[in-house]
Amino acid sequence: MYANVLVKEPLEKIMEDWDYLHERVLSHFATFKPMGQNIYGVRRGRPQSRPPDEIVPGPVSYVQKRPSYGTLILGPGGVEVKQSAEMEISITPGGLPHHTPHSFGYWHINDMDELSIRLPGATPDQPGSLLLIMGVPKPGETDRWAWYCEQCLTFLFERVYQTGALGFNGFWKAERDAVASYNADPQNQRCPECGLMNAKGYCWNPAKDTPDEQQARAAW
Amino acid sequence: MAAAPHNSSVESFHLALGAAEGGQIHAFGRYWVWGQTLPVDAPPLRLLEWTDHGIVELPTDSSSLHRVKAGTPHFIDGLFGYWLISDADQQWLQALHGDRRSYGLIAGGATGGNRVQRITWYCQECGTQLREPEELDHDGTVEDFLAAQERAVTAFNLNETRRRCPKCHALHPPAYGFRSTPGPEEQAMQPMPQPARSVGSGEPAARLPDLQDSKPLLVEVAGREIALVRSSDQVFAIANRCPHKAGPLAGGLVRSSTITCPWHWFRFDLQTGVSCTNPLMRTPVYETELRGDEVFVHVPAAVVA
Repeated sequence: MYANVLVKEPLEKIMEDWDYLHERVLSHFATFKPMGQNIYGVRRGRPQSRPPDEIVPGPVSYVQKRPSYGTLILGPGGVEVKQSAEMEISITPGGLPHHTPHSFGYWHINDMDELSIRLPGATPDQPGSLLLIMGVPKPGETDRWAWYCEQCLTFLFERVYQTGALGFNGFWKAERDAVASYNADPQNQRCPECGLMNAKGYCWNPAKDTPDEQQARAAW
Repeated sequence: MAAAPHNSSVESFHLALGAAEGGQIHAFGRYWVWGQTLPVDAPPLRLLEWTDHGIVELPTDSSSLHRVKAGTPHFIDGLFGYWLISDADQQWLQALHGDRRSYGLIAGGATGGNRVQRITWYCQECGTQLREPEELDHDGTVEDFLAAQERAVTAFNLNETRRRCPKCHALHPPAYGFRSTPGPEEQAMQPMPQPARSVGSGEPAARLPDLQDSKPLLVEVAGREIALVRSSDQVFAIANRCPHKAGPLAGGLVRSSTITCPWHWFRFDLQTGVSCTNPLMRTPVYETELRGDEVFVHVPAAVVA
């Protein structure tokens, strides 16, 4: 079928970056890359199998009950643990605050739906991958970095980036600015309702962590 | 939206590629999602794509994530039997893991609404386009899309002139619609079912209580493998051989007096044997007779001979 008309040249010569999982291009996606209608992120790692979902209704400290691996989402029922099994496509709807412990130290709220897929390695001794795919923001759509009290879920602080208008290229600088602003004033971390002093924030990229941020990354 | 149930207070979506709901298209937000897991030794699903250089095929021997840009004709052999041109980017995922191979197709993105889909066919010998791309008329839902593409496939299959290449005169094989129901091709890798009973001509082929409604029973009558199907108070007998690629119809899905081949989803009228997918195609059906609770199948003498 189509044998006579298939292009015989190696695919690499015809289509650049045809495989986003290829080692050669993986680094391009480590900090997310817009391609066409979506933004792609790929992280190498070893996916773990999923324990049952757990609902942690507020007000309860989600830090104390955080999963060792997985994502927390903040829904009407409180903080929920969302852990996807290998070979499972998950979609977090746009607008839903979510936080992945030890990966990024804030609640991320984007207007775009966000897909995640955990891929196992081809063999048990090979690392798997985590894929993240989200729609390229349209004008008017934003990314937000927010913090809520870990004890009573009271809203503490937020920064907004107009991703649709300003473009994804400015995302990481805006993220660092948001974290720095939150961390700069201890009053931001003090809950006005219950008085709890919350942990500081930290960025997606651990390479630039300050000592305070390293401590926060270990904590939550 | 058929998200897998999770113990959650918010609407979110999970599709386990190896689970029962795999194999169907699900819609969530801006995305349409399909996925399935097959044994690694099953025939792989092959993605072919038109590029500026011609048709290219993605390797199937490694895990990969590939984007088909919106507007690009592509064909996934084994998943749908036409070239699709969509307004949405298509993310095609292949993952090899152990003795399994998982596939995922994620259609959608910021501006891709899965609203405009066109389909076409190219000659499998010389690559000549057989007809201008036809826009599918649907209301934006998965169900309506599936119905629209099936109509287009049936129309293509009915028209031999349309399937004949004007350049090299090769005849395009019958097309097939999106593989949207569980009924995976890996069944081809499973041992073929054996007839529950083997009888000669004039002998009862089965007892009525042995036939469950809409669940085919494979029997052999006078050397012919026949799928017996009970539907309400009727019993149908249809040859256990799909005329497309000899798939076992006894393993097929029965709905509304039709049976769908589990290999490539060709559907047949149980009464006439004529394919609803391609009405030029027909498989033998046999007359049945009930005597008490015994079912007799009349295989014509010419066939027996």
